[in-house]
Amino acid sequence: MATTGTRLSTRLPRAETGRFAWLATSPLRYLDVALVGSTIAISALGLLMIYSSTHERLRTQGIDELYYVKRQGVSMLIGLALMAALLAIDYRKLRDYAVLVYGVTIALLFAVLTPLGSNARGSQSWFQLPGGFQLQPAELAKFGIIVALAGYLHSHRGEMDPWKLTVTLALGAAPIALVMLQPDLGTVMVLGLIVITMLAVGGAKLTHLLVLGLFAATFVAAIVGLGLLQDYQVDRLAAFTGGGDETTTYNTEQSKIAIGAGGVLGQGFDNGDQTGGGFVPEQHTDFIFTAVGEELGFVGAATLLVLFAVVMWRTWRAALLARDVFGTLVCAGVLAMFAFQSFENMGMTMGIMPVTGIPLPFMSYGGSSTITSFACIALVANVHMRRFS
Amino acid sequence: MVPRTRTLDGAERVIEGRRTRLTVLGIVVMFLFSALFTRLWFLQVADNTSYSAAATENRIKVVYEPALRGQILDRNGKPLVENVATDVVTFDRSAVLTSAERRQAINGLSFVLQTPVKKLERMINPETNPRASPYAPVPLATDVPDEARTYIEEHRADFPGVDVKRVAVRHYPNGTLAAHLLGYVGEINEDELEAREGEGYRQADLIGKDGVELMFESVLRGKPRRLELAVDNRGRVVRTVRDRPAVPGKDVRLTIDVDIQRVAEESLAQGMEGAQHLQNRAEQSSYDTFNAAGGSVVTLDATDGSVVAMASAPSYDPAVFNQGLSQEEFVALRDNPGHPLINRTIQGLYAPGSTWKLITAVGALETGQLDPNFGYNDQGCLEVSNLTFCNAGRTKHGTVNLSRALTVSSDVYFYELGRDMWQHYRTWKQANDDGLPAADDLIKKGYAIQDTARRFGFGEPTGIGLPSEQGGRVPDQQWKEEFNRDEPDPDKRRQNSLWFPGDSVNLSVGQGDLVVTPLQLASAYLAFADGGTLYTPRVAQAILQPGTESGQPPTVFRELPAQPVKDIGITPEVYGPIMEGFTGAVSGQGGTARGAFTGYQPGDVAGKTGTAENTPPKQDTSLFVGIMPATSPRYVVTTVVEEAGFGADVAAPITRRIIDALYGNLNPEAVGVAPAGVEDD
Repeated sequence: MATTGTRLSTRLPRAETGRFAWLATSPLRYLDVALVGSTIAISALGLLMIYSSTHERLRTQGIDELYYVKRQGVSMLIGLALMAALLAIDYRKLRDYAVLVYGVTIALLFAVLTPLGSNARGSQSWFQLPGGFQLQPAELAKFGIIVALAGYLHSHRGEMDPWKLTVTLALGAAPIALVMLQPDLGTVMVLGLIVITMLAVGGAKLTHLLVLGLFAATFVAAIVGLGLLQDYQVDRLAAFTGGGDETTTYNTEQSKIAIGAGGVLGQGFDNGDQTGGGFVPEQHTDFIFTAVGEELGFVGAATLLVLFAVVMWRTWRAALLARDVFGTLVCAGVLAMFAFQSFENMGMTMGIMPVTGIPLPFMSYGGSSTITSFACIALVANVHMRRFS
Repeated sequence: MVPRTRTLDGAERVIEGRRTRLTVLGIVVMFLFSALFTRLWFLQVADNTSYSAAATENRIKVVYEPALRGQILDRNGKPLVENVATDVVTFDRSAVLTSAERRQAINGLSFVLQTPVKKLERMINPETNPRASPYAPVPLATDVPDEARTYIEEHRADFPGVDVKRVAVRHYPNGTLAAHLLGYVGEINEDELEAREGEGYRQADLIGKDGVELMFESVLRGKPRRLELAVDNRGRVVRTVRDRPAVPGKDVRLTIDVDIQRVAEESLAQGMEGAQHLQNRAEQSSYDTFNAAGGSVVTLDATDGSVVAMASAPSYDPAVFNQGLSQEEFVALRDNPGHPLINRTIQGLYAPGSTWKLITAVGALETGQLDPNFGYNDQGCLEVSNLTFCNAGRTKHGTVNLSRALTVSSDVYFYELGRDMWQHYRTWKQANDDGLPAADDLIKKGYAIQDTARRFGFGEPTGIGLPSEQGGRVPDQQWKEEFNRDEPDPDKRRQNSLWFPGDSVNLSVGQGDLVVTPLQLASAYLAFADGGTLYTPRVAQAILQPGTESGQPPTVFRELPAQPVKDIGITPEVYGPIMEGFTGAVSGQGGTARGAFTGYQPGDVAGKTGTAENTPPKQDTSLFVGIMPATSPRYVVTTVVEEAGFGADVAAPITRRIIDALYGNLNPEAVGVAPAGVEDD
């Protein structure tokens, strides 16, 4: 797969011989260039923003200015390679391995809770890999839960009854519960949204959804009421609703100031005072959007929104065009995941959503998130390009 | 085109109503993205300005660097206070450092400054070094060698929280000379910060604390450099946004002559030292010497009221304030029994004794109560309403007129005047109390001394401008009444509020409740000597634009001309006999200060001795006011030495040595106390 996106076109000459002869019959000619192109564009922008929000700090610490950029670049390459590999396999084969994917997901989520996993800031959420890399199974679980649920619902042809509903919910609840034990509230929310969306698209009746909604409400109330949330999580929610102490509102305030100060045209790449000054905490990870807002302004941030919107649109379209239930549900799950993550993440930086540790897909620094995002895009592109075969 | 296989596998059916369900999902996603887009618009386009302002506030740190403080020069431009540059290494206690960073910084400093880590930690710890301001970086070393400065600057990253600053400190080329006049600088305190709100002072700024340093604070200080720095969230400087350079303080050229000042201080010290070995003859039961623990000299230029020398003893070293004085050290200095911080010329309050006779004589002459030529028979004592007032040693001076009375210092002559004045006062008072029309003339005569004293500037500060100047007190009946207002016993209150014959008699010879400052005394003699112009004494001639390093000489920025207060009109009829008496006191037969001024021709110097009694066990105050020359006076010198006995014995010889210097001999013979041939005052 030593090809690049730009060379791919459905309007390739029908050459029976030559280097690209194989393309003529490959489903790759139906590859959604807009979808893949947008994600690569977002990733590239992400690299630039990670550079501008970290190099000054790294330089003063005497570390390689490109430390984060290089690591993120490696993650991107792995993600792209994984995407290429996934595209080579017909997604329907993947469908048959849904049980295996689910099993691996559950196993990893279990393992991370054992001493094999590592702890940071009170969360048992990652494996330390050789070479200083880390693996967050909760990120991979997004991919796993999408494939597994789509596989289960597909095998029942999209017909829903209370029993199947319960099984689906149980299938979703297991990894969610394991992630909650880490705990990683942000991912729990993403996973929950994926499950609900896939149920809704996958044939659940309106009454099912209403009952489900009731359950969900009770569940949330129980979590809050029983004090299962960590103090900081309560603080963040309180900060969002207007209460909360100064340190919690600090992130949001600084982030809003940075984005607001960007204005229409922005302060220019690598020129943002808030960004360069490190006023926004976690800026290369969860708050990467503030760098876009400050340095590239409304023009740049809106362009990024448009790129995300293109990804959503193409994913949604793939869901519609998919030739089977599995394909539709995979795309719906991916759509739910990206839509929620990008809305929550960008909304949080602009102060319209509470602060939670949810990365911005393709942008935020973080290997597991980047790789998972590319894998999910590979699923969508796979469904899309094999819609005729 | 390769034919597409469009046949659908039976198993691969689609979800029922999936288009509807997906449409709903799509609408939800569109709605979310619209929300993001709207919010983005509001933040970046609609509300941009307020966020820009917030961002500016966030990242701009304003730093002030003090301007070079102006110099203080003497009347000939010789420096009295200048600046020397020194490198200071500081450590910022408020810097946010990890323990490793902090350890690294301290260890590095220990190496560079050759100072044990423990000592540095002690200096940094606010508990073991309370002297250091909690708001400013702690100075760890001053006068840092160049190599250390360079090393730290080249290894900035190894010294987090550490800074090397080139600061200017006050330098006193003449040591403690004129310390009281010059004052000192120190770190601004809370009260000063509050009092000077709006003048741009900040914590840890240096400010003039006393003397000329305080008086001309606004001139000397200049304008600090104002740097607007863009900083990151840890306070590290990213770049300079704006830089308003410092405006150096202006220099102040004083009226002081550094040579005369030196002679004045030497002479005062010599005289005090001499008095401490002189027998106190007032104490007859035992051999007793004088304490002579404090004294002062004021020399005024009689032509314009400029202060040529102003000395106060004991003194202090203003340079000690450079290093910053701890609260304990400062309190020790302030509460020292010798009060070294007090400038006695303007804060010392003394009964003027016989030097006051100038005022009594002027008052009596001007109100027509005295014929200067009338011969009065001084029998040594005078009885006034059952009290006996006597000359020093009960000396009988025989028949004396005004001049003679001043020359030999006949107290009885003036007691008589005081008694007469009291009679006038009583007549007026009775008429007044009875509701009868009391003649103005009566009270003018009755309060002749008080009125004259106020006219000569007593009872209120001269307005020289130096901080903490005292006004003294000119007592009269109203003052007594006010003073005793809070007396709880009504009989006592009424009694103490009365103006008694003894009050007038005491006042006539500068005793009783009267107190004056040495500067007031000098100023009053000056007003008399120059024929009636009362000046506001001044210490500074001009404010100078400082010279540049490239050799541009300082230029006059603003002249500070002499400030006459008023013409108090001394007529020749008043001036003549009094000046004759003062001339006689120095050079005439039986003149009280004749012994101190041997060698001077009649007319070279005039003057008046004074020996003021204090409440025992406090010894007499020794005073002398010299006028030189007697004909067309150029200088007035007032010397006051606490607990030093006769004016003729101590204050007069001190004054003589200063007058020697004023006549051009800058290395005069040392002060000899109790000169031979002195008639006791």
